[in-house]
Amino acid sequence: MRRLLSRIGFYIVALWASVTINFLLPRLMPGDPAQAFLAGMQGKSVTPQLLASLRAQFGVTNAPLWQQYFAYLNQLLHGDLGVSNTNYPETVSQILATSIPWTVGLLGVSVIIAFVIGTLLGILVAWRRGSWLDSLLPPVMTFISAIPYLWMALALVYFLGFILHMFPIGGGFDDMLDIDWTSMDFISSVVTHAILPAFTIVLGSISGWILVMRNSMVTTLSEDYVLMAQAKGLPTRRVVLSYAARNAILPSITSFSISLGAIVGGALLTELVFNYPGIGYALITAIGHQDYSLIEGCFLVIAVTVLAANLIADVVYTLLDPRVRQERS
Amino acid sequence: MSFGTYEKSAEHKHRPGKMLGTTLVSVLAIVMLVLSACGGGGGSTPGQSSNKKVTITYVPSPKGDNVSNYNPFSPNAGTGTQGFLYETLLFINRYTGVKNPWLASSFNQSSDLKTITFKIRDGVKWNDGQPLTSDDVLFTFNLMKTNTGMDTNGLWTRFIQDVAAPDATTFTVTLKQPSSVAIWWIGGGTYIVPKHAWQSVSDPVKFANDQKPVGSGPYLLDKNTPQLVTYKKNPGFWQASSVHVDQIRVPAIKDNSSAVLMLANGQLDWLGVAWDPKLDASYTQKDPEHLHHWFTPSNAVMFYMNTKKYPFNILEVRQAISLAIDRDDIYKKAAVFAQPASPTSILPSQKSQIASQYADSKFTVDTAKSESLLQKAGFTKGSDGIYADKSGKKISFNMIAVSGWDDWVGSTKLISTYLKKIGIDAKINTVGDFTPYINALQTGSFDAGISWTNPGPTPYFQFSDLLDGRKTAPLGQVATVNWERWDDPATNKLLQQYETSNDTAVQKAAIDGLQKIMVEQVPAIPLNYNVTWDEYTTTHVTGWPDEKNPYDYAAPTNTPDNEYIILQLKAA
Repeated sequence: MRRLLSRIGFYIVALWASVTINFLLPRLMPGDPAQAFLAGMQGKSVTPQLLASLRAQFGVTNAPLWQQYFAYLNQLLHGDLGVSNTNYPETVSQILATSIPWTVGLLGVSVIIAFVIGTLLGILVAWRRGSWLDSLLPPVMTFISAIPYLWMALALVYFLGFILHMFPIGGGFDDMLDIDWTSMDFISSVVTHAILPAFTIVLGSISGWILVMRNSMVTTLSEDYVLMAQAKGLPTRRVVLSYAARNAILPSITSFSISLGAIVGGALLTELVFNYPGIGYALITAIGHQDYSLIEGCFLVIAVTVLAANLIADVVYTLLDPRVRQERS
Repeated sequence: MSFGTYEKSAEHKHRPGKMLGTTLVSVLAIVMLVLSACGGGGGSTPGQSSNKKVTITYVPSPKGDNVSNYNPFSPNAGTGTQGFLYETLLFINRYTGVKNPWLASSFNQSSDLKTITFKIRDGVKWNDGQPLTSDDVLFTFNLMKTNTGMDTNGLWTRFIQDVAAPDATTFTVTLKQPSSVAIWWIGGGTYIVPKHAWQSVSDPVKFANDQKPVGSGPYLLDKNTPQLVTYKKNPGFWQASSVHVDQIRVPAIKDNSSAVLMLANGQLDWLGVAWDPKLDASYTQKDPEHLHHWFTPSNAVMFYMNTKKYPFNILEVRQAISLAIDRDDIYKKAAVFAQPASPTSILPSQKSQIASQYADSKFTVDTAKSESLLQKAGFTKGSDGIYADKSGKKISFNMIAVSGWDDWVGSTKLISTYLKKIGIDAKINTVGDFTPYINALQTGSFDAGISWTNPGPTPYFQFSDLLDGRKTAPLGQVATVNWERWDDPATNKLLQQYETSNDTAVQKAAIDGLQKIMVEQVPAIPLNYNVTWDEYTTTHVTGWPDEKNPYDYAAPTNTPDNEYIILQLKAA
C-alpha cells in the first residue's frame, strides 16, 4: 500500500510537471494565437479591433505569467482546454471528444488483438521450442515487423485498396453517410474502414509480443517448478498456462499497459496514411495550422493517459507479482 | 503580359511554397501512379447524372474539416456564410471598383460626406419568409455596437456616430467625420442578419448559427457535416431567376496536394490553391476545353524596411536598396508567377489610376547609382567591401522570412546577393512558421522582410494600410498594418484629402501625390504582384471571370464576390 501511495505521489508530480511545461512552451514562443490566426487573412485589412476581438475570443491576455498560470490551472480543473483557433468557435474539448473515440476504438481493438494473438503464439512456440513452428514463426514475424510501418501500410493500401478494391483507402467511414450510430449502413462502413488500418497495426506489432512472450517463456520453462509440475503429471495445459505462462507474462504486461497508454497518443502514422479521424490526425493538422491550444490539448491528453497507463501497470504488477509487494513492505 | 505567369495570392490561406514543395510533387507522383492503376474507377463526377440539377463543388482553400460556424461576423465563418447565406447592402467589386446596389437598391451620401442614406430593396425576404426591412439593418449595426467583438472592421470606432431607420425602407448612417471611404466597409463589408432570428441570441459573438441559418442570400444550408457541406437553391431569393446553380458542395479537403489531385480528376469546379507550373501537365493540358485557371495580379508585394530603425531611416539607403534589386531576375528565379511591380505599386487592374508621369515607368537596376547614393549619405566602403558610416557602423541587417514560403525565401536570398554587390550586408533570418514572422512585423522587431499589402477597390485602400501614420504604432507595440512604421505628415494629409472628398479630381490628386511619395520617398520597396489563385472547370457551368471577361477577381476566397460570381454562372 505504501508503495502504491508513493507511486501515486510520483505520478502527481509528473502530471504537474507536464501540465506546467504544456503551459509554458507555447507562451515562450513569439506571437500569440490571435496573430497565428491572421495567417488566413493575408492581404485583408487587419484592424486593431479585429486583433482585439480575436485576442478576447481566444483568451489571450496581457496579465502576468503567474496569473495566467493559475487561470490556466483553474481552467484545466474545470475541464476547459480553451478554443481551437482553426476550428473556432469549436473548443478543444469538443474536438478531442470527437476524435478520441475513433483512435481508442481503432487502436484499442487492434492492440488487444495483437497482444492476445501474439502472446498466445509466443506461449505456443515456446512450449514447442525447437519444432518447425518455433523455427519458422519468429523469424518470419521479425521480418514483417522490420518493414518500416509507413511503407508496409502504403503497400497494403496500394494492393488491397487501390488494386483489389477490397477495402476503402482512407477515412473513418463513408463520407456520403451521415454520422449515425443507430444506422447499420454507417456502422458497417465504420467497420470496413477500420479493417485495413487495424490489420496494419496488428501486423506491425504482433512479432514483438510473440518474441517477448517466447523468450520469457523459454526461461520460465527451464525452472524446476515447471519440471516438478510435469513430473506430478499435471495436464499440459495447466503446466503451460498456470505454471509457466503466468510467471512469464510479467514483462508483456508492462509493455501492454504502456502500449495502452500510447493508444490515445494515436498511431500518428496510421492515422496519417489512412486519413483516420482520430487524435493523431487532429494533432497533425493542429501542428500544420499552428493551432497551439489544440496542440496543447492533445499533448495534455496524451501525457495524462500515458501516466495513467503506467500507474495501472504498477497496480497490476503489484497484484500479479507478490515479490513486488513483499520487497517494499 | 502573358497569361498564367504570376505567383501567389496573399488572400490565400496556405502560402504556396509551403504546400507546393517537393512533398507535393512526390505525393503526386505516388498517387498518380495509384490512380492510373485504378483506371476508370475514380471518375464519377457529381452533377453529371441524368437529372438536370446543376451542382458545382467549391473549395476556396483546403483546410481540413468544415467548421460548423455560420456566423457571418466570425473571422472563422464557414465557407459560404458570407455571400451564399448573408449579404451586404452593396456589392463593391474589388476588380472594377464599381459599387453595385445589392440589399440596398440605392444609396446616397450627403455633400458634407457625413450622412449615408440607404434605400432598402423592396421585396427582399429572409429565407424563412419574413421581409427584410431597415429594422434588420439597424439591428445588425447596433449588434456590432453593443458587441464590440463583432465589429471587426472597427466601424463604430473609426466611422459611425449614429444609425437610424426612419422608415421601413430607409437606413441612415451618421459618420463621426466626413468620409468617402467608409462606404466600403459599411455598405460593402457588413453582412445583414435578421432581427427576429438574432435578437434572442445570448452571445452573438460566439453564436455558431448552424441550425437552419436564416439568411437573405441565394442558398440555404442543406447538409452540414465536417466532411461535406451542401447548399441548395433558396427559392425565395430576390434574384432567384439569376441562380442557375442548383447545388453547391463544399467537401472538406485536408491540404493543397489532395485538392490538386481532386481537381485533376474533375471532382472540383472552383478552387484557389497555390499553383506550380509543373502541375499544368496533369491539369490544364489534360482537358484544355474544360479545365482552366486564371491567375491575375491582385496584391503588391513589398520589401518592407523598418523605417524607425537605423539605417532605414536614411532615405538614400532605402533608395539604394531599391535600385539594387533585380526584379526581373526574381521573377525568373524565385517568384515565377509574380510580375515585377510598377514603382507606384498600383495594381494592374487599377492601372488607369497611375499618375501620368509614372505611366510607363519601370524599375531598373543601377548599382552605380546605389553606391553613389550611399556615398552621398556619408557612408564609405570598408576594406571588406561593406559600407559603413563615419562612426564605423556598417550597413548590416537581417531580413525575416518564413521557412517553407519558398518564393519569398528565394527572393530574400536573391536580394541578399544584390545588396552584397552594392556593399550592404543583408542576412536572411528564416523563422519556423508564420506566428513569429507576423509578430516581428507587427511589433516592429524586424529589420526588413518581404510581405504583402492590403488592396481594395481603389488604390487608396492599399496606400492607407501601407502608409497611414495614424495606423502605425511605436516600436514594441502592435501595429496591425503599416509595419514599416511610416509616419509622414505630408502622406497623412494626402490620405485625408482622399477620405474627405468625393470629388474624383481631388481624389485623383491625392492618389497621384501618394504615388509620388512611393516613388521618391520609398517608404516600402515594391517588388512584384502576387496573383489570385483561381482554378475552375467549365464542365458543369460557364461564365467564370477570366482574362477575356475580367468582371471580378476570381479568388474563391473573396466574399461576397463568391456570391456575385456564382450568380453569373450558367449551366454548361
